[in-house]
Amino acid sequence: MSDDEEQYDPIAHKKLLQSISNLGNVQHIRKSTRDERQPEQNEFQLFKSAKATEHAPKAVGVNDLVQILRTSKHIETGKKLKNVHNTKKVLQKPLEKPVADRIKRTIGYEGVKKKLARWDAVVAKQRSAETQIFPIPSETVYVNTAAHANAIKTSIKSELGKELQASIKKLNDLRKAQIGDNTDEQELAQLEEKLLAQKATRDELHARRRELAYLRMRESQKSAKARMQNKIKSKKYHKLLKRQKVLEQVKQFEILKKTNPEAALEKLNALEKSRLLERASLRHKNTGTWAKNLQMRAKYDKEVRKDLAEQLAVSRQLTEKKVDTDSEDENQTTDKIETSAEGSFDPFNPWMTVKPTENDESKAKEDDVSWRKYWTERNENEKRLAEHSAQVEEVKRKKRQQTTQAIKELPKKKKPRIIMENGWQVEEVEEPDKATTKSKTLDEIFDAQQDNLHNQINHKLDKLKKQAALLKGVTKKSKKPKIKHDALKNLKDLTFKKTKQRVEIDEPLNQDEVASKQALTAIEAVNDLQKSKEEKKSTPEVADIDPDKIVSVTWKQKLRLTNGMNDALADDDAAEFDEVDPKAERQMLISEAFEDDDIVADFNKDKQDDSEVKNNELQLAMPGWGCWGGAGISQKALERRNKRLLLKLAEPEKRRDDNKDNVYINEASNKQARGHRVSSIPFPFKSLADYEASIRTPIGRDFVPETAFRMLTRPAVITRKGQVIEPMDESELVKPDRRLRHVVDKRIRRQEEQAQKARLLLVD
Amino acid sequence: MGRKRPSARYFDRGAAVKTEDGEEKPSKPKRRQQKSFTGDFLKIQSQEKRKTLKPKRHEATEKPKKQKIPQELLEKYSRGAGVDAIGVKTRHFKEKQKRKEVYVEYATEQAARTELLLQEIPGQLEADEGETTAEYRQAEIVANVDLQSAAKHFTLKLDFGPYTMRYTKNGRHLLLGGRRGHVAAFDWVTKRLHCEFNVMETVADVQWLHVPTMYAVAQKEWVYFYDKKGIELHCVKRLTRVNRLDFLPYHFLLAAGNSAGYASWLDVSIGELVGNFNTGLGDIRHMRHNPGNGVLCIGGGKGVVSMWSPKVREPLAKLLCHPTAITALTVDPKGVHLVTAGLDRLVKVWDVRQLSDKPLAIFNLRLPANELEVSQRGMLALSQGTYLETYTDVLLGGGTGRKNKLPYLRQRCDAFVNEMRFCPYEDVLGVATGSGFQSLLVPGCGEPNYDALEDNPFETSKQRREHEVHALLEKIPPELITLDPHEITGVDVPTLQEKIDAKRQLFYLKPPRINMNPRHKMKGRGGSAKAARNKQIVKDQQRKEFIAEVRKAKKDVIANHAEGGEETAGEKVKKPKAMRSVLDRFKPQKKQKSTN
Repeated sequence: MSDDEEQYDPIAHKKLLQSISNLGNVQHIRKSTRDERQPEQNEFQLFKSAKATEHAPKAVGVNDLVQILRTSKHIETGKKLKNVHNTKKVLQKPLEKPVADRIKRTIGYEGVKKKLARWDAVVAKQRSAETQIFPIPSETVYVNTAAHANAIKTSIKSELGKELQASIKKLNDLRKAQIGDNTDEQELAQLEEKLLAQKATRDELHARRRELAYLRMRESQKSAKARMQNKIKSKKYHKLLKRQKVLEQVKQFEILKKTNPEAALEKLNALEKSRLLERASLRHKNTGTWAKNLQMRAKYDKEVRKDLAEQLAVSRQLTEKKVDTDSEDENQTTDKIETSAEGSFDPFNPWMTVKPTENDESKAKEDDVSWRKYWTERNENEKRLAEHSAQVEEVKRKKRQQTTQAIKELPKKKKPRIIMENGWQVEEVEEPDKATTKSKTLDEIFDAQQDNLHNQINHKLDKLKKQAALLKGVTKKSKKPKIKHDALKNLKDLTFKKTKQRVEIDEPLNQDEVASKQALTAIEAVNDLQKSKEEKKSTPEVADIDPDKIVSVTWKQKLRLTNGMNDALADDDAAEFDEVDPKAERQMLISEAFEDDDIVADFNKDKQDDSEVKNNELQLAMPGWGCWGGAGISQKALERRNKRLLLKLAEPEKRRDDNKDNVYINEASNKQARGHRVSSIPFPFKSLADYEASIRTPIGRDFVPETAFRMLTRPAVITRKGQVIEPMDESELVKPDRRLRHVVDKRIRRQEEQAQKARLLLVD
Repeated sequence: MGRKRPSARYFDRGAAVKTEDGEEKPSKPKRRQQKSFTGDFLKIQSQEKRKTLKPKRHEATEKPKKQKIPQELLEKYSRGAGVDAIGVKTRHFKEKQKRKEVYVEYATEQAARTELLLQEIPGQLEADEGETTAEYRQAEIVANVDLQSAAKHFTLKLDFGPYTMRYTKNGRHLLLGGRRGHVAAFDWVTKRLHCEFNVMETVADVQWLHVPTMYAVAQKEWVYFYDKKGIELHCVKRLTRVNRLDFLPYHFLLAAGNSAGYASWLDVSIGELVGNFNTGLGDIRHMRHNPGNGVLCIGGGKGVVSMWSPKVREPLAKLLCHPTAITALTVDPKGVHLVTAGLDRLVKVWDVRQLSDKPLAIFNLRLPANELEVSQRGMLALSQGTYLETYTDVLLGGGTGRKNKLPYLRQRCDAFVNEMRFCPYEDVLGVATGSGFQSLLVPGCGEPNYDALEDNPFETSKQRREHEVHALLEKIPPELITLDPHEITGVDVPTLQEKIDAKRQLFYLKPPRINMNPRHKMKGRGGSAKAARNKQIVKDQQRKEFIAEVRKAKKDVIANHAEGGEETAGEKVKKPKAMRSVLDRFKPQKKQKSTN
């Protein structure tokens, strides 16, 4: 045995010890050594244990090389290597794939757009062309390309040159013969030519490469920008960004207010809605992570307390409003704001007639955009708020004390999950040493649990990401009082990426459209009225001649010639006419007797009856409404009220037969004829006059001369039978204008030229 | 068919080329360049033609410049101001509209150029020194005109009591109807009789239809249709006791006014009554249609001319012309003037387009006129019993040359004049009297130039058929008969009454019932409870939206009308305050009321 002991092998002993000590941390997987070149790395050969990596040999870095080289005679090389190492930047991590793809797409889109834009002029011309003829007419030109035709001499060769060429050829032939090459050179040349034709030319290749390079450059620029913007964490920046957005929106709104009041109203509604959404959200409660965090610190920091109080006050105010209008619909609240802004009263509502005096102050400011109202009010109430906040603070403090106690108890449970969730929240500043000492033994357990939890957390994290993004501004807020103010301002940014909280019903609605349509048409009709009223104003009056100013010609029937000449006809009947025909006289007498003096009055009465507008008044007062006073209410007041609530629907409108005593014109023209007319001005026309002018000329054969008729009714597209219509190629882009053949084309050109001349003359 | 080309001869061999089939084809001689051409054809868009260096062979070969068209001619054919390019929306449509305007301009010019083809010149009798046209008698005129024209003057002595008469639209045929049943149709130019018969009933009126082969006769009870040969085609029993007949050629409507005051329009192309209602005017004795717009003018006993359209049961317009009953009325062929005569011995000319309340001209007569007629060139004929006069102008009256208000021509007939018509495209006035028919020559009354596609006095049967088809294709629907024939080109604007009714209706609107059929869902997806709830939600939402909309509309209406009230109130308040001046203190001061 002693022999055995003497044979002490220190190396073997050491190995043994090592293996024993290694028994504890079982990590048998070794990093694989690579002795052969492999196209792929096996993922199972990579291992992760931190423990293992500590013991693993360090990879050789560039610095090591440099160190070695510095000591040897290759100092220069070492320096160079170091230089290279220092100067060359490490490539940046590529962008995420969707982002990169998006950038690529935008750039590609721009390129294609540019390319297609070249065709714009051609397309516009084709579209506006009155007649298009296909295939596109071209003029044939004869070019003699036959072999025997005299070729154009392109080069002049001297005798010497020709001789040289011949000798070279001979030499080549000889060489070929020597080698035994019997390929036909001409054939080869042809083949080469063909291949060349297929290949892109050098210039083309260059162009293509340049284009690609440009694209790549643009892409990298864009990605860099995107990356930079993504990276910015500055709250100030984001704040500014938000404010900018708000300002932009306000600006847009102002512009819209002037140009398109309807859209402006919509926008206003949208703003209002987002405000409401915010109100509905829990943004200003003390339940947010940020608020919870502050609660912790509020114990020690006075300023933080103040912040919290303010936050609460805001939330209170926001919710207070909701309480006020709880009973009403959201729509109605907005309505209310609008109507009050307009200052009109609602005669349906008898309460409205009594105007509340409290609102007077606010009313003066209601000229402001209504969604700002909240802020103006807030500023006014600041004092009251401050008082209120003091009270709130008291309450809060008590609550806070409770919560902190609860929190102190929490870490003792040592549930890893809880620690995970509010690890930063806990006041364990004193405690961490405990945790860390114990953690050493629990390290692996944690590791394993971490793995298990990892998936779950990931899943939850994704869920919470959106919310976190929303709340980011609040949670990460440091407790500067100035920032508090900004946070409030941020409320203005109403561009939350919130999902709608509306009931979503994905069922198709098979409603009875007809019923609703019928009712809606009535509304439309009224809406149209206002439009038509405006239209009517724009139409010019047709009356060129004032009929009242025309003096009617009056003359008397004469029978005898003035110069007393002999008139056979007159002579025959002279007796009859001179002594007045007794029969005629009798007839006259009768007619005069029956001549009705009131015939004019009757006519005018009829006219008035016929032209009177019926049902033009509407009583808005409802029986019983507005007389809560009971039976004793004075009849006078009631009458006065009824008179006030009598809506006269007819505006005074001038009739065609106004001031024409003896004429009645029926203005309710026939319905059937109206069916043939258009009810609104059709598309390309702006005014009625223009539309009417556009259809003033019939185009039929019977109304215009035959030549004009043919021109006016020329088909839009003329194709020739049996001819293939090729798609346009790029040569179309550079074609000169064709010679004008059409009479009207020529006339148009002439007119344009004349107009241009006139313009030039004016300039001179 | 004669051969165009003689067969090839032996000496033509050189020119002919033998094709592969062995056939010989005559070959066209080619240019030298083309003959030797063996190459390919290339399609090349050529540049503008290079200008040849050769000097132009000028003047002689140059096209003669087109005659300039006088401005007034252009204006005559112009259709009014064109579209202003500013009033058209996009550039594309602007361009299009501009182009169209040029077309229209071109069409106008072309039309003005055709004026050259109107060779015939209207003439009139010109009196010599010391004479007036009024003293010329028919016999004198006939003696001095060519044979053909002289033949147009004739008299028919007929026994079947007061006659009515009509010319066809082209003025070629004449239809006579005697009160006591005599109906005769004939080509009055050639005097060829188409048919003549007695209907053995009273005949109130006769009327040609759209072709000169058919006519309508208003008999004692009903209206009958006959053809040229006198064969009865129809008996329209829905037209009863008709007094007056008229025909609207472009609408194919036979208008009838009966003794009960009914106005009826019969579409002769489909045989349907398009309008038939009581006008409430009593016995319709005077009825003419306005050729300008197709409106029927009915003169009543109360001195009112009312205008009617078949599709409107109220008069389109009423015109109080005379304080007495109307004795005659007519509308000129252009549809510009309405001429009425009353028992008050006045003849008044009205502007029927403007419908002004003052007449353009008033003729003071010694006796009331019982018939009126205006010719194509604006001559007026009026009759007083047996005596009739013509005037050269509807507005100015008088004869030619001296406008001393003496008539142009005068005529005394042997019996009272029952009806007068100017013959279209002829210088002839047809007078139907109590004892027959007279065709009088009135030089210068007819339009000398006719449009053969419109009315052709010399039309053949083939042309007549062609024209009939075209006219049928271009028939105007009866509902388009309105006061303003151009109304169709306008935009439909609601009337005041409609606006009011629409507003009124708004206040009594109920939310519509909604029938919602939710999609059937598979088992487990949506139970009946869920479906019902969803249904309710949708219904509520719709109702709410509707109510909100109505509310808004109502509010608008109220605001609009309240505005008007406020404005007037505001004006009172807005009385501008006088500027205060330093010297105001010298003015007598108003006594201020004590506040207590």
